[in-house]
Amino acid sequence: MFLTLRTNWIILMLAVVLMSATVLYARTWSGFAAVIMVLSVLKFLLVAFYFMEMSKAHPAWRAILTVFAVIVAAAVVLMK
Amino acid sequence: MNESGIAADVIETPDTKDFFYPPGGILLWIIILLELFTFGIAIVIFMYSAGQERAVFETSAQQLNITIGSINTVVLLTSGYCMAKCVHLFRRGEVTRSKKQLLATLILGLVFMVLKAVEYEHKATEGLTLGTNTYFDFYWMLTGFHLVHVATGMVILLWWNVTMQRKPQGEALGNLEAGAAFWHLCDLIWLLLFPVLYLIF
Repeated sequence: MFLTLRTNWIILMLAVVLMSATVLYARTWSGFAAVIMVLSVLKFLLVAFYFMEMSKAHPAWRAILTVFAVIVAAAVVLMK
Repeated sequence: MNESGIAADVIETPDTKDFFYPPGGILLWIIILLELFTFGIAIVIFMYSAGQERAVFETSAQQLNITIGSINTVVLLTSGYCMAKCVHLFRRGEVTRSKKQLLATLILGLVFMVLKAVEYEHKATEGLTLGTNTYFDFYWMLTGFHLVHVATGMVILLWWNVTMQRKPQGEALGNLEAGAAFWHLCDLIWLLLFPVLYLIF
Protein backbone atom coordinates (compact mmCIF):
# COMPACT_ATOMS: atom_id res chain seq x y z
CA MET A 1 0.00 0.00 0.00
CA PHE A 2 1.30 3.45 -0.94
CA LEU A 3 -0.08 5.19 2.18
CA THR A 4 -0.24 3.63 5.62
CA LEU A 5 -3.62 3.76 7.38
CA ARG A 6 -2.32 6.29 9.91
CA THR A 7 -0.84 8.58 7.23
CA ASN A 8 -4.14 8.41 5.36
CA TRP A 9 -6.05 9.38 8.53
CA ILE A 10 -3.68 12.34 9.13
CA ILE A 11 -4.19 13.57 5.55
CA LEU A 12 -7.97 13.25 6.01
CA MET A 13 -7.83 15.31 9.22
CA LEU A 14 -5.71 17.96 7.47
CA ALA A 15 -8.30 18.09 4.68
CA VAL A 16 -11.05 18.66 7.29
CA VAL A 17 -9.00 21.49 8.86
CA LEU A 18 -8.33 23.00 5.43
CA MET A 19 -12.04 22.80 4.63
CA SER A 20 -12.94 24.55 7.90
CA ALA A 21 -10.34 27.28 7.21
CA THR A 22 -11.81 27.78 3.72
CA VAL A 23 -15.31 28.12 5.21
CA LEU A 24 -14.07 30.64 7.81
CA TYR A 25 -11.84 32.81 5.63
CA ALA A 26 -12.85 32.41 1.97
CA ARG A 27 -16.64 32.11 1.95
CA THR A 28 -17.14 35.11 -0.33
CA TRP A 29 -14.47 34.04 -2.83
CA SER A 30 -15.84 32.93 -6.23
CA GLY A 31 -13.88 29.65 -6.19
CA PHE A 32 -15.15 28.68 -2.72
CA ALA A 33 -17.53 25.91 -3.84
CA ALA A 34 -14.89 24.42 -6.16
CA VAL A 35 -12.29 24.26 -3.36
CA ILE A 36 -14.79 22.64 -0.97
CA MET A 37 -15.80 20.02 -3.54
CA VAL A 38 -12.20 19.27 -4.57
CA LEU A 39 -11.37 18.63 -0.90
CA SER A 40 -14.48 16.44 -0.61
CA VAL A 41 -13.48 14.37 -3.65
CA LEU A 42 -9.97 14.01 -2.20
CA LYS A 43 -11.40 12.69 1.09
CA PHE A 44 -13.85 10.43 -0.76
CA LEU A 45 -11.05 8.84 -2.80
CA LEU A 46 -8.70 8.49 0.20
CA VAL A 47 -11.40 6.62 2.15
CA ALA A 48 -12.33 4.47 -0.86
CA PHE A 49 -8.77 3.63 -1.93
CA TYR A 50 -7.07 3.16 1.42
CA PHE A 51 -9.69 2.44 4.12
CA MET A 52 -11.83 0.33 1.74
CA GLU A 53 -8.65 -1.00 0.08
CA MET A 54 -9.90 -0.27 -3.43
CA SER A 55 -6.30 0.62 -4.34
CA LYS A 56 -5.83 -3.18 -4.40
CA ALA A 57 -8.96 -3.80 -6.50
CA HIS A 58 -9.41 -4.22 -10.26
CA PRO A 59 -8.78 -0.89 -12.13
CA ALA A 60 -12.42 -0.85 -13.31
CA TRP A 61 -13.63 -0.44 -9.69
CA ARG A 62 -11.17 2.40 -9.12
CA ALA A 63 -12.31 4.07 -12.34
CA ILE A 64 -16.02 3.76 -11.41
CA LEU A 65 -15.47 5.36 -7.99
CA THR A 66 -13.25 8.15 -9.33
CA VAL A 67 -15.61 9.01 -12.20
CA PHE A 68 -18.63 8.95 -9.83
CA ALA A 69 -17.01 11.31 -7.29
CA VAL A 70 -15.78 13.70 -9.97
CA ILE A 71 -19.18 13.80 -11.76
CA VAL A 72 -21.11 14.53 -8.53
CA ALA A 73 -18.62 17.22 -7.45
CA ALA A 74 -18.57 18.82 -10.91
CA ALA A 75 -22.39 18.82 -11.02
CA VAL A 76 -22.52 20.54 -7.61
CA VAL A 77 -20.00 23.22 -8.61
CA LEU A 78 -21.64 23.85 -12.00
CA MET A 79 -25.18 24.01 -10.58
CA LYS A 80 -24.19 26.21 -7.61
CA MET B 1 -5.50 -19.02 18.11
CA ASN B 2 -3.13 -18.72 21.09
CA GLU B 3 -3.94 -17.33 24.55
CA SER B 4 -3.00 -13.74 23.69
CA GLY B 5 -5.54 -13.82 20.89
CA ILE B 6 -2.90 -14.09 18.14
CA ALA B 7 -3.64 -16.72 15.53
CA ALA B 8 -0.94 -19.12 14.46
CA ASP B 9 -1.15 -18.18 10.77
CA VAL B 10 -1.89 -15.05 8.81
CA ILE B 11 -5.25 -15.57 7.05
CA GLU B 12 -5.19 -16.13 3.28
CA THR B 13 -7.33 -13.64 1.36
CA PRO B 14 -8.71 -13.93 -2.21
CA ASP B 15 -7.04 -12.04 -5.07
CA THR B 16 -8.77 -8.65 -4.95
CA LYS B 17 -7.32 -7.70 -8.37
CA ASP B 18 -9.99 -9.96 -9.88
CA PHE B 19 -12.95 -7.81 -10.97
CA PHE B 20 -15.42 -10.20 -9.32
CA TYR B 21 -13.63 -10.17 -5.93
CA PRO B 22 -13.36 -6.54 -4.78
CA PRO B 23 -12.51 -6.09 -1.07
CA GLY B 24 -15.77 -6.85 0.81
CA GLY B 25 -17.24 -8.99 -1.99
CA ILE B 26 -19.02 -8.33 -5.29
CA LEU B 27 -22.57 -8.48 -3.86
CA LEU B 28 -21.83 -5.83 -1.28
CA TRP B 29 -20.15 -3.66 -3.92
CA ILE B 30 -23.26 -3.83 -6.09
CA ILE B 31 -25.22 -2.54 -3.07
CA ILE B 32 -22.55 0.13 -2.38
CA LEU B 33 -22.69 1.39 -5.97
CA LEU B 34 -26.50 1.46 -5.95
CA GLU B 35 -26.47 3.41 -2.67
CA LEU B 36 -23.85 5.86 -3.94
CA PHE B 37 -25.75 6.43 -7.20
CA THR B 38 -29.00 6.97 -5.27
CA PHE B 39 -27.42 9.59 -3.01
CA GLY B 40 -25.57 11.08 -6.01
CA ILE B 41 -28.87 11.54 -7.91
CA ALA B 42 -30.50 13.01 -4.77
CA ILE B 43 -27.64 15.53 -4.49
CA VAL B 44 -28.08 16.55 -8.14
CA ILE B 45 -31.85 17.00 -7.59
CA PHE B 46 -31.04 19.02 -4.42
CA MET B 47 -28.77 21.31 -6.48
CA TYR B 48 -31.46 21.67 -9.17
CA SER B 49 -33.99 22.68 -6.48
CA ALA B 50 -31.44 25.14 -5.07
CA GLY B 51 -31.34 26.79 -8.48
CA GLN B 52 -35.14 27.20 -8.35
CA GLU B 53 -35.26 28.58 -4.78
CA ARG B 54 -31.83 30.11 -4.23
CA ALA B 55 -32.83 32.54 -1.45
CA VAL B 56 -34.62 29.82 0.56
CA PHE B 57 -31.61 27.47 0.32
CA GLU B 58 -29.11 30.18 1.28
CA THR B 59 -31.01 31.36 4.36
CA SER B 60 -31.88 27.79 5.44
CA ALA B 61 -28.28 26.52 5.15
CA GLN B 62 -27.15 29.33 7.49
CA GLN B 63 -29.29 27.74 10.22
CA LEU B 64 -27.32 24.50 10.27
CA ASN B 65 -24.58 24.01 12.85
CA ILE B 66 -21.30 23.69 10.90
CA THR B 67 -19.35 22.93 14.09
CA ILE B 68 -21.43 19.83 14.88
CA GLY B 69 -21.23 18.79 11.20
CA SER B 70 -17.42 19.16 11.20
CA ILE B 71 -17.04 17.25 14.48
CA ASN B 72 -19.23 14.50 13.02
CA THR B 73 -16.97 14.37 9.94
CA VAL B 74 -13.90 13.92 12.17
CA VAL B 75 -15.73 11.28 14.27
CA LEU B 76 -16.86 9.29 11.21
CA LEU B 77 -13.45 9.45 9.49
CA THR B 78 -11.74 8.33 12.71
CA SER B 79 -14.21 5.46 13.05
CA GLY B 80 -13.33 4.55 9.44
CA TYR B 81 -9.64 4.49 10.42
CA CYS B 82 -10.39 2.20 13.41
CA MET B 83 -12.44 -0.11 11.17
CA ALA B 84 -9.68 -0.34 8.57
CA LYS B 85 -7.16 -1.03 11.35
CA CYS B 86 -9.51 -3.71 12.75
CA VAL B 87 -9.56 -5.60 9.42
CA HIS B 88 -5.78 -5.17 9.02
CA LEU B 89 -5.11 -6.61 12.50
CA PHE B 90 -7.60 -9.47 12.07
CA ARG B 91 -5.93 -10.43 8.80
CA ARG B 92 -2.59 -10.59 10.62
CA GLY B 93 -4.20 -12.88 13.20
CA GLU B 94 -4.17 -10.33 16.06
CA VAL B 95 -7.78 -10.96 17.07
CA THR B 96 -7.72 -9.30 20.51
CA ARG B 97 -6.29 -6.00 19.19
CA SER B 98 -8.67 -6.24 16.23
CA LYS B 99 -11.66 -6.48 18.60
CA LYS B 100 -10.48 -3.36 20.44
CA GLN B 101 -10.47 -1.42 17.17
CA LEU B 102 -13.96 -2.74 16.38
CA LEU B 103 -15.14 -1.54 19.78
CA ALA B 104 -13.60 1.90 19.12
CA THR B 105 -15.45 1.99 15.77
CA LEU B 106 -18.74 1.20 17.51
CA ILE B 107 -18.19 3.86 20.19
CA LEU B 108 -17.40 6.50 17.56
CA GLY B 109 -20.48 5.44 15.60
CA LEU B 110 -22.52 5.98 18.75
CA VAL B 111 -20.94 9.43 19.24
CA PHE B 112 -21.95 10.31 15.66
CA MET B 113 -25.54 9.23 16.34
CA VAL B 114 -25.72 11.18 19.63
CA LEU B 115 -24.41 14.37 17.97
CA LYS B 116 -26.89 13.91 15.13
CA ALA B 117 -29.70 13.45 17.67
CA VAL B 118 -28.63 16.69 19.42
CA GLU B 119 -28.68 18.50 16.07
CA TYR B 120 -32.10 17.05 15.18
CA GLU B 121 -33.46 18.07 18.58
CA HIS B 122 -32.25 21.67 18.05
CA LYS B 123 -33.79 21.84 14.61
CA ALA B 124 -37.10 20.36 15.80
CA THR B 125 -37.33 22.85 18.68
CA GLU B 126 -36.67 25.69 16.26
CA GLY B 127 -39.58 24.39 14.16
CA LEU B 128 -37.30 23.49 11.24
CA THR B 129 -38.87 20.13 10.43
CA LEU B 130 -40.05 18.22 7.35
CA GLY B 131 -42.44 20.50 5.49
CA THR B 132 -40.79 23.76 6.63
CA ASN B 133 -39.36 24.34 3.15
CA THR B 134 -37.68 22.39 0.31
CA TYR B 135 -34.23 22.75 1.85
CA PHE B 136 -35.26 21.20 5.16
CA ASP B 137 -37.20 18.45 3.36
CA PHE B 138 -33.90 17.47 1.69
CA TYR B 139 -31.95 17.96 4.94
CA TRP B 140 -34.18 15.60 6.97
CA MET B 141 -34.53 13.01 4.22
CA LEU B 142 -30.86 12.84 3.23
CA THR B 143 -29.35 12.98 6.74
CA GLY B 144 -32.13 10.68 8.00
CA PHE B 145 -31.37 8.00 5.38
CA HIS B 146 -27.66 8.38 6.13
CA LEU B 147 -28.34 7.93 9.85
CA VAL B 148 -30.33 4.75 9.08
CA HIS B 149 -27.22 3.46 7.24
CA VAL B 150 -25.00 4.28 10.25
CA ALA B 151 -27.44 2.49 12.58
CA THR B 152 -27.55 -0.54 10.24
CA GLY B 153 -23.74 -0.56 10.06
CA MET B 154 -23.55 -0.53 13.85
CA VAL B 155 -25.93 -3.48 14.13
CA ILE B 156 -23.86 -5.43 11.56
CA LEU B 157 -20.57 -4.65 13.35
CA LEU B 158 -22.05 -5.44 16.76
CA TRP B 159 -23.20 -8.80 15.41
CA TRP B 160 -19.72 -9.54 13.97
CA ASN B 161 -18.18 -8.50 17.30
CA VAL B 162 -20.32 -11.09 19.11
CA THR B 163 -19.91 -13.90 16.57
CA MET B 164 -16.34 -13.24 15.33
CA GLN B 165 -14.62 -15.89 17.45
CA ARG B 166 -17.26 -18.57 16.90
CA LYS B 167 -16.62 -18.83 13.14
CA PRO B 168 -13.68 -20.28 11.21
CA GLN B 169 -11.15 -17.47 10.66
CA GLY B 170 -11.48 -17.36 6.87
CA GLU B 171 -15.26 -16.97 7.06
CA ALA B 172 -14.98 -14.45 9.91
CA LEU B 173 -12.55 -12.35 7.85
CA GLY B 174 -14.94 -12.36 4.87
CA ASN B 175 -17.78 -11.19 7.12
CA LEU B 176 -15.60 -8.55 8.75
CA GLU B 177 -14.43 -7.18 5.37
CA ALA B 178 -18.05 -6.97 4.19
CA GLY B 179 -19.11 -5.19 7.40
CA ALA B 180 -16.15 -2.83 7.05
CA ALA B 181 -17.05 -2.02 3.44
CA PHE B 182 -20.61 -1.15 4.54
CA TRP B 183 -19.26 1.03 7.37
CA HIS B 184 -16.98 2.91 4.96
CA LEU B 185 -19.99 3.43 2.68
CA CYS B 186 -21.43 5.59 5.51
CA ASP B 187 -18.19 7.64 5.42
CA LEU B 188 -18.42 8.05 1.65
CA ILE B 189 -22.06 9.20 1.73
CA TRP B 190 -21.35 11.68 4.55
CA LEU B 191 -18.32 13.08 2.70
CA LEU B 192 -20.66 14.06 -0.15
CA LEU B 193 -23.62 15.18 1.97
CA PHE B 194 -21.73 17.36 4.47
CA PRO B 195 -20.28 19.95 2.03
CA VAL B 196 -23.46 20.11 -0.05
CA LEU B 197 -25.90 20.53 2.86
CA TYR B 198 -23.76 22.50 5.33
CA LEU B 199 -21.05 24.40 3.51
CA ILE B 200 -21.52 25.56 -0.04
CA PHE B 201 -24.56 27.85 0.45
